[in-house]
Amino acid sequence: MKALLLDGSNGMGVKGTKAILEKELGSAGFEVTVIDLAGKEIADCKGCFGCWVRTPGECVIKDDAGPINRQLMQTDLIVLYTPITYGGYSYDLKKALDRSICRSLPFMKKYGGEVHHPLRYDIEQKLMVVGVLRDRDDEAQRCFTELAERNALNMHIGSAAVVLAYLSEGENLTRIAVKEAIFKLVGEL
Amino acid sequence: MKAVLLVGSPKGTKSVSDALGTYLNERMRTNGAEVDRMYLNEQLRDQTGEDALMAKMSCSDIVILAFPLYYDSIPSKVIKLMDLVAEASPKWERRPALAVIVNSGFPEAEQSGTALRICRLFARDADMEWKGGLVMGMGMVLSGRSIGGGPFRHQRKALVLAADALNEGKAVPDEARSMMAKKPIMTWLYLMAANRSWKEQAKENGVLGKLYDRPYSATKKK
Repeated sequence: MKALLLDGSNGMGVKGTKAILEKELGSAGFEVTVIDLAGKEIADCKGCFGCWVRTPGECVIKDDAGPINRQLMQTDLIVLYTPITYGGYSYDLKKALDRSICRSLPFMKKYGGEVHHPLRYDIEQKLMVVGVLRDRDDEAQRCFTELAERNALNMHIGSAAVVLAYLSEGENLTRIAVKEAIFKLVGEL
Repeated sequence: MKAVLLVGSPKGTKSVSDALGTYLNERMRTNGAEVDRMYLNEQLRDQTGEDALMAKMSCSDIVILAFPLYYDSIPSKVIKLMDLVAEASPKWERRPALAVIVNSGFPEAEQSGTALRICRLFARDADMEWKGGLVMGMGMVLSGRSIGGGPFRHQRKALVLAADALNEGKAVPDEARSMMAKKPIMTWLYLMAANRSWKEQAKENGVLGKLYDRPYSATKKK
């Protein structure tokens, strides 16, 4: 099983959070690839929809987003790792995600009473969204969890888990949260 | 009242965000406000642009941030703006209030709810008074059109109500939010027109037969 970890933390995080993720995912049988987004050249999305109606399935901008998108579509587990930024994702992570709408088709269709874009590929993937905060923040945590759930819905990912890690708390709690998330995902495979 | 509209769509002057934000802005101008408009795409290109943006924000009473929904939340460029404000605003003598206008291609305005919550959290963290927001679905109906005509009477009324309230230093009224979220046309009609539009665009670009391509896998195309 493959796991692709998109690191949008730009170095911020519980000491060793990324190491915990890599270790626990490895122990669960995943072959983990980590992409540090801070070191990648990824332009902001132009909103041109070229990935739908000019070069279907591929972004028209040629930079590091293309190879990342290829890996995104060939992994079993997508792991998004980010400081919780105003309740959402960091700039680096959001840039990468914005540039990945080529994974969807342009059409809109009703799924369970709500309209979404169909997935371009016949794949089943899992999603783990890991957010780091300095201290507990109920409103930011709720917003972040809601965002992760909305993303899973729009990405047509049936199995998703959210991990919240806190800089003010120890690594052990983070490790437990990561293990619980992996169990939730692996248990449903 | 000094207001500045920040357009967070990469399409700039041709965007739905600009159309909605400008309509509200102009109503505020009619009410006597001094209004201005800036495009994040232009301002965030270099340090000079960023500095001008921060300077404008720091001397405004209210910032109206208009942007399209991206991946269930705010576009990356808007996050960049927020990060800049977080760094610069502690030096500001005063903080502007914040109101937002979100538009998305989905029929359901509720799908933009998380984006609105992120903006409220940003306002909290940046110590800006949160004045609320408007959310509109079916953005494609307005794309390339004027909001002054067509099936947008609810949206026009919403923007007027919001502008009038903001001019008086009040928050966006619930009535304005409800009106903005009303669907301009029926969902089945919207889906039919939108899906046909994608095919027409693909045909114009000579890629109708490639719409379902899967360049990143070895799976046969649909």
